[in-house]
Amino acid sequence: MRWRGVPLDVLLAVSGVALDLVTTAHAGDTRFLPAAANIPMGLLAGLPMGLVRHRPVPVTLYLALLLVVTDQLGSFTSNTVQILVCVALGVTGFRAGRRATAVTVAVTIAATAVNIADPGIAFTANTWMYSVLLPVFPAVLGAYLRSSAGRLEECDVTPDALLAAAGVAISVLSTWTTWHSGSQPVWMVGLLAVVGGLSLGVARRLPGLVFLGQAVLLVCADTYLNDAVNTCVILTLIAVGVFAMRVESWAWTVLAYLAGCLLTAIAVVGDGTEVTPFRVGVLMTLVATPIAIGRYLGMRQAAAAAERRRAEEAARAAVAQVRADQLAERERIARDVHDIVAHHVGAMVLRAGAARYAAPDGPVADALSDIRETGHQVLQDLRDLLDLLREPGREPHLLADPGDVVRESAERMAAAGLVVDLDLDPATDHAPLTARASAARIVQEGLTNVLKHAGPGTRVRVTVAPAGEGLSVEIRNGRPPTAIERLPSSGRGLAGMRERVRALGGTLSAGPDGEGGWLLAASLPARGGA
Amino acid sequence: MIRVLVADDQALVRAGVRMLLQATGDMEVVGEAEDGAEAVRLAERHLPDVILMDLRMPRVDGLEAIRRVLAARPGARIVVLTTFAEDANVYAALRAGAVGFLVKDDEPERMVDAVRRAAAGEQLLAPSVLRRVVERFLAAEEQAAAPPPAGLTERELEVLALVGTGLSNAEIAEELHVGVTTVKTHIGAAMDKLGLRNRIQAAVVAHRAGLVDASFRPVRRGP
Repeated sequence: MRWRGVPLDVLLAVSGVALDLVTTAHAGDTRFLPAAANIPMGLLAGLPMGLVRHRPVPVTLYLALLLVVTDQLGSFTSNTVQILVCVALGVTGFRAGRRATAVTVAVTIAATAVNIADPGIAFTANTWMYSVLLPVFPAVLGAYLRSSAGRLEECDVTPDALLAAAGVAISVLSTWTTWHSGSQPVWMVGLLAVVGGLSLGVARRLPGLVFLGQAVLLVCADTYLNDAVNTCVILTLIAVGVFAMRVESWAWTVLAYLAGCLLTAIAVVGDGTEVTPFRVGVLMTLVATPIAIGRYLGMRQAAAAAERRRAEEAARAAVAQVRADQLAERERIARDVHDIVAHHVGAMVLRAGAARYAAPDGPVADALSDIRETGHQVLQDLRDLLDLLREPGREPHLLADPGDVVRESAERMAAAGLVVDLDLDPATDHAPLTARASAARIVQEGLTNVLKHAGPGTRVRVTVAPAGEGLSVEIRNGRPPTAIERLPSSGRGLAGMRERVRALGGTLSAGPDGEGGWLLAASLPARGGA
Repeated sequence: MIRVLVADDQALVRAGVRMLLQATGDMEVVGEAEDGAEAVRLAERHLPDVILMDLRMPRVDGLEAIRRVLAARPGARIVVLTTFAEDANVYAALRAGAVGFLVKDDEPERMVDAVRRAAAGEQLLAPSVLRRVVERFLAAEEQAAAPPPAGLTERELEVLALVGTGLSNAEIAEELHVGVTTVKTHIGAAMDKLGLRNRIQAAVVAHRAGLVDASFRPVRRGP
């Protein structure tokens, strides 16, 4: 499972190498390296990208080192490495922990500073900002994607707010110095910049409209305010990416891509621009990037939703199966009780009654009377028991051995996809029936909850052990295998369990275990609450 | 002498019933059947006044045996012998035409009384039990209300309504200020006209026709 998607790794490695070869294709000999070294350098820079999905931190650190080395050698590969290290940082932010990400970001900032600080470029506040922002941005983006991909629900406005804020930041910060340079009034340009940036906030909901709006802005800027065109290109590309994320049809995606290419061309190509196949290729690749990212996110969302539905379905099916099995088992027991026990007891009572009727006096008649009475009472009890057994809403603990219930639900949940470790102390058999039955029920509910909220593939440890005269139950699940399958909790299952435990005079606690998982613990005393 | 046939797969039950009825002096067991098929055969041979029939028997079960006996002899009086009154099969047997049922742990005195009353064509069920049975019938069949049965005289409808309330023949006689024999005649005529086999069915018909309300009181009809 960890190594799923090897073709993607190969693709990443090939892309890395290809990028470098394209970048350095026209470079001749440099001070330290002949032109022939371009190919080995490309391999050195690009191949590690194949490992980046599985070992993001080492790969990023390696690339940062390579960045410094290539920069010192004066190789053009340093440009490639600068891009690749940012990509690797994005993956690091997506996959690795906070601390590892922070370390790699710090190292990359240093390496980027070395790369930028070439002779001729002064170390101004501006260049410092670049060397800081270049590594930080992809890392933050990666971390954000990790936390958000599954939660980009329609009702969640956080991504919209982020998009709007980012849009305004880009549009205003990068253009405000030029607002007065066009023929239009400053307030109008400023307003357009703000609105253009803000419109990204609704891009997830109205992707087509926002894309269209950005396109209009871009064409306007190209005509009236050339300094703002680059900003408009960025906003348009973001809009294209969001469009590709939200629109499932490939035809529309291709259309958006072509429109994006056209708009970018309008922005980039001026009167004196020479159109070469290479430039066309670069432009088309540039526009393909947001489309690819958007498409990828959209697919992940769809996959997350499908996965969630599957998990829900599996949980429901498992619960229904447990229920159906219990009912079938109860019906079987009820039939046996009825056919075997009650039938014979009824015959005995009738026999005893008849004998007493035939000989109404004397000690034998008294004995027969007693037998008849007792038998009558037994039949009453049996009738009540049968009623209990056949009432569907009844608790199953009346019937099955609680240990079996626990084992069975563990097996069932394992079949539904949980990795269940069951630690059922044999000594629990001596605990009172009420405590055992409640423990069984809690295990059932708890495992169902884990399946529902953490999803298949989660590792769960179930411990049922004697504690004093009673029992202790612990259900601890590890971090969900993917962060995208959580369901909102209704809280009803937990409330039911708490009620049950309270009725016994016990305690129940549930909450995060501090290691990314969840811990449900109950202590069930021997006697009911005083 | 009341001649009784016992059908039960348990020797214990048959011996018990034989002992019980012999002790009364005016009843005798003329045949013992171990399964439904034998019960049908012996019923044809001995023509007993009352048949005590267990429902749970091997090969041919009690329900099927009741159907066969009544098909051959519609007037046969069959009392179901059951372990639990709540069994769904008991209702099926009453619907099939059994005149009543006895629970095996009933007091022996009540059993004797029930057999005697069944032989006399009387009602077997206490009003409270009858109510439950009728309610189960109505719930199980879920049929729409029917118009008052045609072809009955005013008096017969009146008696039918009182049967539906769960009154015994003596109580109905008292209510209407007539003799018990007259009541029996009216009931017999009404059941014949409607093709009913027992008083439970008669009570159900009375309910469905709106002669009795949901709280088992007779509905006063217009003059």
